[in-house]
Amino acid sequence: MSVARRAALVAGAASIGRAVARTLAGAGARLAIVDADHDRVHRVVSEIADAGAEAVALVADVGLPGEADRTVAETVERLGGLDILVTTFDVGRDEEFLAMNLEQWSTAIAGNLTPLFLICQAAARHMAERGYGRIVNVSARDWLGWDRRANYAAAKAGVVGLTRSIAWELVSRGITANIVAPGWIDDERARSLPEVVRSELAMQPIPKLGSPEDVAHAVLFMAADEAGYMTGQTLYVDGGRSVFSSLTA
Amino acid sequence: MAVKDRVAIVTGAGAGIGEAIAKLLASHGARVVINDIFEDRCERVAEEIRQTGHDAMAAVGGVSDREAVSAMMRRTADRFGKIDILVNNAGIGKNRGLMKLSDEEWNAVLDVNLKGVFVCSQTAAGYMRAQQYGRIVNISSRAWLGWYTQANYAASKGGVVSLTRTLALELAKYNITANAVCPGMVETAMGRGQNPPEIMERLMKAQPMGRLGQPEEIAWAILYFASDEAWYVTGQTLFVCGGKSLFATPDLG
Repeated sequence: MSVARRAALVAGAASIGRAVARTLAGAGARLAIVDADHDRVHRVVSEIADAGAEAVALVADVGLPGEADRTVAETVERLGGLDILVTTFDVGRDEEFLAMNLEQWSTAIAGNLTPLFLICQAAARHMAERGYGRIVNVSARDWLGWDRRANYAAAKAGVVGLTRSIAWELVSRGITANIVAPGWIDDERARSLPEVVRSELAMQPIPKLGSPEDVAHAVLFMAADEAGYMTGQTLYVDGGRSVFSSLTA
Repeated sequence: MAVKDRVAIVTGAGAGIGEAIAKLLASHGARVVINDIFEDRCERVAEEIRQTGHDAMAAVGGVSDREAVSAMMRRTADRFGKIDILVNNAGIGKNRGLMKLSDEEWNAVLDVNLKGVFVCSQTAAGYMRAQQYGRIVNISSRAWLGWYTQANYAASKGGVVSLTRTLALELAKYNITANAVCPGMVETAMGRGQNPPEIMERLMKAQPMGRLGQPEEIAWAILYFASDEAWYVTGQTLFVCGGKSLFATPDLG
């Protein structure tokens, strides 16, 4: 498959970013990974090295002015190009809407949406020049709206709106932009909320937690050469839970 | 994208998108049953797949004919031992302005495009339930959102979406997923045969990407949904339409 030899930048090295990076590397992509957390990004890069592949570790907070441009420039320099961008920003604290304060709101917007805008723009400028690009942004099924997640849902809805806008504006430039929207995934948050997860999963058509690798597989599908006729789409990896919501095609 | 050693039935696989799906699944190691109403097409595609060193079986028959479908599924299970993947791709179109659309044109399209998906899915799901494994992938169309002269076609393809979502809910407990792919305009022999080159050119320019989709680009999405790794994905509707679903306007053709 068809990400082989492609230059890919994965933003965010937490659970889903880590799985995406390992999956893309396993499929033969040349890889850079950026995260603000030095240890986290280096840990993923050494795992990939242990698996016999190679990846470049970049430490940057791409939400800060200039950092996204610097990250893309360094990726292009180190990998000789940038064909694929995958973003996996995931910041959000659970809080009831009536109790939510401005800081909690701002944390979600600043953590999920601002770096997304900056890194997508920096990457797309490079891709538009070359006439080829695959952007896959990881949103969340929660963008449809959910308990105690008004800040997070709004930010993740922003991911969808931004991605669809990129898709539309750059449709004639060889760039596709698509969205993966995970539901309940076996990550730190799910492990910290065992009671919530138990009752949530009972309501799901597939009553299990997904894995970060399941999300990575959907990303790989959308990042491939062969996915060139698909853009602006949202794919839920959520055990079928989104079927209970209205269609958001 | 693992489909290796899976047994897949692809309906309407004698040409176009269905042929591309069957060949892509086969090239990834699936054993494929080639269904179509045209025997020569079934045989040709099956033979071409066998020549690439993969296993394929031709199975001629209509998708809404319950007896024919039962016989095809039985033959598949006899020959390959199981049915893991069903791709409901067979479809027809009989476009006409709403005010002139006849009952015959309505019934013919609904029969193949919607009843066919029901009959094939229900029959295959019997085998899949027994195995506790299944992947159903249905080919809907971007046109299900509604389009001129396609009341019958759009309604049938909209029905495929709601049927898919219901299959997903009812069959999840048997480890069977059901998803739908909605192609936009795709370059097939059928399309080229029906339209003179200048019309094809105009259609191409009217697409957001400035081109039609290739059958292989649709098949790619089917391969994803059919793969082992997509077990957590069900009830989804994915448009592979060159971005047209984002902002479809009449002047985009």
